[in-house]
Amino acid sequence: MSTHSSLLEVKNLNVHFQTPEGELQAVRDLSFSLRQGETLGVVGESGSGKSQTMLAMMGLLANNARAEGQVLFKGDNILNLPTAQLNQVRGPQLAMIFQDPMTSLNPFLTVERQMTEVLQTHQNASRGQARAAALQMLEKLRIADPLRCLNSYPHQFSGGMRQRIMIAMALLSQPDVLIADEPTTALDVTVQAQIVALLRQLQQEHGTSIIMVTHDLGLVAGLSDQVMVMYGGRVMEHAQADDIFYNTRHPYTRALLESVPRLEHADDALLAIPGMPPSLRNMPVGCPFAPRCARADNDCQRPAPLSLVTDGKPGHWVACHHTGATA
Amino acid sequence: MPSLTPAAEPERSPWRDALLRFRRNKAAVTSLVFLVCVTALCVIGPWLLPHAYDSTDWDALKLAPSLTNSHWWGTDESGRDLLVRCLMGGRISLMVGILTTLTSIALGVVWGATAGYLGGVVDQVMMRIVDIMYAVPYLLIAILLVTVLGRDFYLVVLAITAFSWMDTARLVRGQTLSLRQMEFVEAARAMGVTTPRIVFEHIVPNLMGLVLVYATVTVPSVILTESVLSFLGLGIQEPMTSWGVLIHDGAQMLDSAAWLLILPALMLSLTLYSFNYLGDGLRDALDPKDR
Repeated sequence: MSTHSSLLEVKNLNVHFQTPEGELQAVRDLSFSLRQGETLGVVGESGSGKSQTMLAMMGLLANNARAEGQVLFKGDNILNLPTAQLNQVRGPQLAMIFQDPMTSLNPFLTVERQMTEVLQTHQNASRGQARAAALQMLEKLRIADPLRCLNSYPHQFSGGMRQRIMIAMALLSQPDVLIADEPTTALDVTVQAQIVALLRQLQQEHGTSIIMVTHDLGLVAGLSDQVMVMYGGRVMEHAQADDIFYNTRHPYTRALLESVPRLEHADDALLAIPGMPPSLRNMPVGCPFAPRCARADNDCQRPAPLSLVTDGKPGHWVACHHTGATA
Repeated sequence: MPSLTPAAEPERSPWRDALLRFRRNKAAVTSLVFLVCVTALCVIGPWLLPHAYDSTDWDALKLAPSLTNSHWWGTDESGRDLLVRCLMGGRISLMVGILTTLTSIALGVVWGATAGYLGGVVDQVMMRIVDIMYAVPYLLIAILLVTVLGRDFYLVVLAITAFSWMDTARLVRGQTLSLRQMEFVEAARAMGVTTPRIVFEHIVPNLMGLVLVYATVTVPSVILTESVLSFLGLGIQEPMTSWGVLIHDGAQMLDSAAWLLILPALMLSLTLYSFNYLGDGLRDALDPKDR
């Protein structure tokens, strides 16, 4: 990890949705920072607000959504910038890969046209230059016969190939930060491993910072420097990856880790977290995890502030009233 | 890490796949061949035939069709050769049909895609304009246009365009509303692609299948509209003719010279029929579910 100051800093991000049933809050008071070359893993169940956080940073929220707070990229706030100014940042400097490679490519355009678009839009590259750069990037991602790949249409590729093309596309303009929103969820396990290896290698070569959004703890363990666990739109625990896995403080993180099936305990019943994640329409007043938490008591009727673990390593934040006792 | 090999097939665009499926559809291919033949005949036929469309053969007034003299399709009550007039009429009808369809589809696609993609107030305003256009009686406007600007071929095209683009706009807007939710549009936005580029380079190509099918249905309806305008004396004027005019004139002679109605009507209906079959074939060929 480099010692530079933060490349990307999110401060007190809140995301609200206006709906016919009233206002819903999808992300609550979220803050984190990311240095150059660092990887942040964002973990949480569906509906925990992790994707909305990323979309808010990219200015891609739905029309009925409103984001508040600050997203400082290289010191400038890019949250809620007008589209024209935002387009100077997203793409060339802040890129994103989406969950489903099957639908993230335009079925009617060749791979070349989609890949070169970002260079032609942002760097005024000629067609030839852009094509050469795309070819080079495809080679770097070990795509066989890159020339033919450029002239092909998305439906001619498998999911893993398409995700590689998406990654190649995102990396083409050499962004400083790459947001990967569940990049391997739609892929099978062997391809997942390849994609992760690829991301790690590219990160080493270019010093790209990565935000990896996922619900796969194994993926996070393999790739991340720091991990942020989200639940019900809040950060539950945020620490260095090792501390999340070996010095777990939050009951939710613990429950998540316990519910990962393990081969060596194949005979045991699968451990699941009882209950359902809370609906945004019906968020508990206090700690959002309290209704499903074995340790919940009266204290949990008021929200637990995100605070530093006093006896832990520096930079270990947790939002629970019972941190001390769970160690 | 082992590299994945791309599919072994050569580059196949979605368009090429559609073409392969289209070629298997006998009815659609036959229609296409028929349309090409009719168009070619209308374009070159009048030059090859011995009669002019507007000259009277005084020896052959209201002559019945026969292969023994030079008027194979007979003549009308002014002694003008019906075959040449049918081909000349076909030129006008097809030209009006195709030109108007192109302009009205182009306008409808740009309008609908812009409204659908931008959404919000822009969408509201643009679609209310469409509603207003629907409410305006088009004959009234056509009459006004012709009265003010005079009769002209291009005026007919303009007048029909002005009142036929709204269907396309609505169709395209609806389709755009669903396309803009697609991940590839979001991905393009995330890459900082400008809005006009997203609309015209990402969304419009995805609409072309639908639009193409719709165009083949629009051509016949435009040809019919032109017939109505001509019938009212607002479109093509004597001695120039169109299929609509020929059918109108022929209908008055039904008792004494049925061929004057039957032959142009046959040409018109076979053409319209072919356009519809072509549209059907295209819709099947371009159906993404069949990919």
